[in-house]
Amino acid sequence: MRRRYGRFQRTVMRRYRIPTESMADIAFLLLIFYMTTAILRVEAGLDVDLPRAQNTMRQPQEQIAHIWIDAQGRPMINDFYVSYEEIAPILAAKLRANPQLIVAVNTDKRTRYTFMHRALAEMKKAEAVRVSFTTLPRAPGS
Amino acid sequence: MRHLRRRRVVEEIPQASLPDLAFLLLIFFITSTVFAVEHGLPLVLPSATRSPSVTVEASEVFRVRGLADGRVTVDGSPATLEQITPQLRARNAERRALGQSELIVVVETHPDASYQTMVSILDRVRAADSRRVALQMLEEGP
Repeated sequence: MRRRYGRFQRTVMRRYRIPTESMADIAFLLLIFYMTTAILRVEAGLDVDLPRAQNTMRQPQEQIAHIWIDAQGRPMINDFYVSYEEIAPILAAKLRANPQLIVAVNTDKRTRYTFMHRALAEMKKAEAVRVSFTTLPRAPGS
Repeated sequence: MRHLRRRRVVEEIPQASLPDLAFLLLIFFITSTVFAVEHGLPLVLPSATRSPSVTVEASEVFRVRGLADGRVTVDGSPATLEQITPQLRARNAERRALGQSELIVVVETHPDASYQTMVSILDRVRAADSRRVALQMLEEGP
């Protein structure tokens, strides 16, 4: 840009800069997002060693109800041990609230199949027919 | 005459390093966060009340048995887990070539077999892209 100062023409250099004042705000915003959404997973309470599989599918978190069955065959729903007979009414109530519910069965790999069979029978009774057998990814080479 | 001029000292917490600190924490959370993703083997169970019982011919069934000691049989013959996928794929390809429907895979698991045995069989069945699966428990087994 040129400006006239008397007889001389002086070139004024304009400095362009990226404003960095809001950088801290952005950083803290992202930080708060990560701090609030991060789940520091501490698996305590129920010792369940999940089986491994390869041809799995990712399950939508918002539609999942979990059932845990430990190696001794004890089922657990909502952090409480329940009897097999209680599975159907609990799941039926959950299904009334969300008909698209998927029941994720987190069973220990050492559990005898007879316990799994009992749990599946209760799920059928509650019409909870959409089931997912939760697994861990298979270790390479196994 | 000399006047004493008091200098006002403005005390403030230095904030210049605030973005550095925020970014440091942000990087920690980004790298350490594990978003909980569930993987599983999905299956739609037959309803206890709504699903009618159907009779199928023996030729339409691919029967895989998981025995109490972890051994596997396919249509009565001893097999390994690795043999399930190619055998099922080949049989389904034959049927498709003849214009017939896909085989129904019946996974029969011994009550004393481990849950891992059933999951491993189901995993291999899914690898063969077979979606018509029935889970059963062996009433009597070796």
